[in-house]
Amino acid sequence: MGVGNWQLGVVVLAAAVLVPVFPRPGEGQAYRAPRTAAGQPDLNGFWQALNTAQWDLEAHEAAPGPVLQLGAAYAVPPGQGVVMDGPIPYRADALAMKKKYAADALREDAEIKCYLPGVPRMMYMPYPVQIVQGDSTIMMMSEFASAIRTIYMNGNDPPPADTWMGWSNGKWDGDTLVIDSKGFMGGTISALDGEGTIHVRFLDRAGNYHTDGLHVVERIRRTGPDHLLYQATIEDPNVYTRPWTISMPLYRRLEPNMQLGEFKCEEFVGDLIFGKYQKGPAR
Amino acid sequence: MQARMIVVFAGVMVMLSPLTVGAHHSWNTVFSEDKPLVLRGTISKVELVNPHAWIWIDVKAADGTIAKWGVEGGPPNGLIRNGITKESLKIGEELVVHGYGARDESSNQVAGVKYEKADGKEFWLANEGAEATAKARGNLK
Amino acid sequence: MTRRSLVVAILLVCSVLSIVAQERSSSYKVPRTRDGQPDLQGYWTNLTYTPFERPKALANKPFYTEQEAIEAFNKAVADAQNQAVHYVNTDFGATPVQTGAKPNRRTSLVIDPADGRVPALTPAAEKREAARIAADRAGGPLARTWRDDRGTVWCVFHDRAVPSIVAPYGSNYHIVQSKDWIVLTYEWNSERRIIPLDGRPHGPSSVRTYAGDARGHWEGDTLVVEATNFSPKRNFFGSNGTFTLVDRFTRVADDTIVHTYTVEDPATWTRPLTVELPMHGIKGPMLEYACNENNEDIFTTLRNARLEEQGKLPPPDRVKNVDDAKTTVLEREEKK
Repeated sequence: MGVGNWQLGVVVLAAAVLVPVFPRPGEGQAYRAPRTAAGQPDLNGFWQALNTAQWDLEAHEAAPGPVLQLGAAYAVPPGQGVVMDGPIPYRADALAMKKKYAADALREDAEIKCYLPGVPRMMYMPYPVQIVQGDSTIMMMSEFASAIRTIYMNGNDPPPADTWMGWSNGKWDGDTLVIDSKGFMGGTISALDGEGTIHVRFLDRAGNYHTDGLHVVERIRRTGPDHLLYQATIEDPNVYTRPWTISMPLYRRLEPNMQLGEFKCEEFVGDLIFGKYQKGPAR
Repeated sequence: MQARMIVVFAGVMVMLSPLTVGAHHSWNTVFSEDKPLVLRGTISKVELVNPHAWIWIDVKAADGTIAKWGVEGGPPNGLIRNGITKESLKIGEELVVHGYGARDESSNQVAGVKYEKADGKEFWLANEGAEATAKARGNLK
Repeated sequence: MTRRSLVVAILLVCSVLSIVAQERSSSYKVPRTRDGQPDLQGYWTNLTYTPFERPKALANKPFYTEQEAIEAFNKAVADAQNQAVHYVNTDFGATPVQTGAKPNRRTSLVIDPADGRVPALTPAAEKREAARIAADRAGGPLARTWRDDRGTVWCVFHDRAVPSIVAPYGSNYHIVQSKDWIVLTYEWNSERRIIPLDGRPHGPSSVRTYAGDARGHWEGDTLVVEATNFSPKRNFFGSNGTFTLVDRFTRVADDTIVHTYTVEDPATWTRPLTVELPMHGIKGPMLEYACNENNEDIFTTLRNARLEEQGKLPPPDRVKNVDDAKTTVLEREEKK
């Protein structure tokens, strides 16, 4: 390597150090969120993801959707992906299962039956999530299927039973809310009829999935007046060879008098799930 | 039975009698009050979910064949508040179940009412329909 | 103050006195949240031995004396214990007395009309209800679809959540508050009311929901929630969602909230209905109620209905009414 390359190396190194450094005014690590009366960073409000994570957590190209008649309205849009340390580290046997479930997504995807979406999926579905911050408990509520997460602040109890939305213990790490969640149902109960059964829990519509071995650690903080940075580390030894992390901004819904609508989709899927045993549709 | 009336006036009926079968339950469309039975088996799975918990037991027949039975229980919230969690019922543990069988006997399901563990401890985990039936019919074995 | 809210306020004062008299406490200072609001947070139940409607024999007796209230309470506890078969609720500490219910001087949860019973339907509403019941009966005894209330389990909206009706067990609330919102989650079906406290107007009447459109504000230490725009798919004592609802919650002791509500619908009832539901504190947690996900019974119910239609399954047994149940128990005991 000659002297010219060394100088170029210094310039490149200097550029690499300098280029990503400048945050937008008030954003990034420098932003200090307003406090609630209890002195905690204020996460109250309505937040929503604006990406294609709900379709596929990994980077993906556009593709036709599963229902011909829905045409472009339900085709898969392209997306840059939200996995920080991708691709998702599947075990070989689990990757084969993913392909199998993805091929049968219309039956296997809990979203279609209006089942509770779980974590972290609830956080990036295309519906607003409302955070109501009490002193010892934080509620996170999605418009979808009236899904609720109860975050027990400074809680240490293990899950008393498995649930669809998991059991979440939260604490503050500086200005970052850290939530540790376990105790997730891996699928429907064994007594459920084949028509209602799902075997694993999808994390997105592409069939990326988890089992009851799921453990999620989320980190959430304000990065500006109307933005959160949301990160989730996902671990499931039944599926993945190591933990992996997704990251995305969540955007504040700014409409005046914003509230969650009532979206009780259970009512819209009755004929779909139970139609086989019915005398005609109930619609 | 005026099924729709029960739904509309559920609040009234429930309050006038704590023994009324609640509108929530499908008790006697699924199970039969004329089919009390006792099962002994080992626990293979425990699903403590609302509205009905499910406990799965492997029941060995006289000829040695194993049949899988699903035992439908009641809501687990009360259990959990009193310290009974998913850890309290262990896989492989022996359990005796007193309950009512399904109308469709091919389905290997029973509405559990009373349970006995190997150490003799009893516990009750029934939905209100099963309990009301046990009280009304007095035929729980 | 409107006349209606004045009436409710007077009833509330009376009820607070009846509870307080039992507690023998005179001046209770409601704890405050960090935002300075009365703190209603925690886990609460409205389980009670008090019947929803007043028994006809007590029509002119809206209040027990303290002694009578204690006796009625003890009798209800004893009756619940005196059974041939245990109730799971007893064994697991989930009966009203075990969760902390106290004697109630009221003889019914309905406190207005004066006879403690749900008001009569208007003539038009009677006709409407009769037609609806007839149409439903015409569908026959078997469940045809998941919507039929013939042993199917309804997981869309749990009616007892709003307006509040006491469930036989698990009639529990989890309440969380922030400065501008209060969230009440009912255990059954995890039904939630997310109530803004910021003074915003109701939403448009073209948008109707099962849980209604709720707006809350503080009147002194009382949370007042006014709700309207209920869905016409509701049927609450004959009203198809055209009722308006005003709830009031006041914490009167560390372990007691008095919850009163008034529901009105001139298109259905001849007068408003007011109900008082003492809530007492319980231990958490309140586990998720994933109804749709675990709805096993509905498959069996529909499958069995089809088998029955084909003659492959005999009709189901019917549990006899309550009086028969009592007779059966007595007969067995006499035979001993």
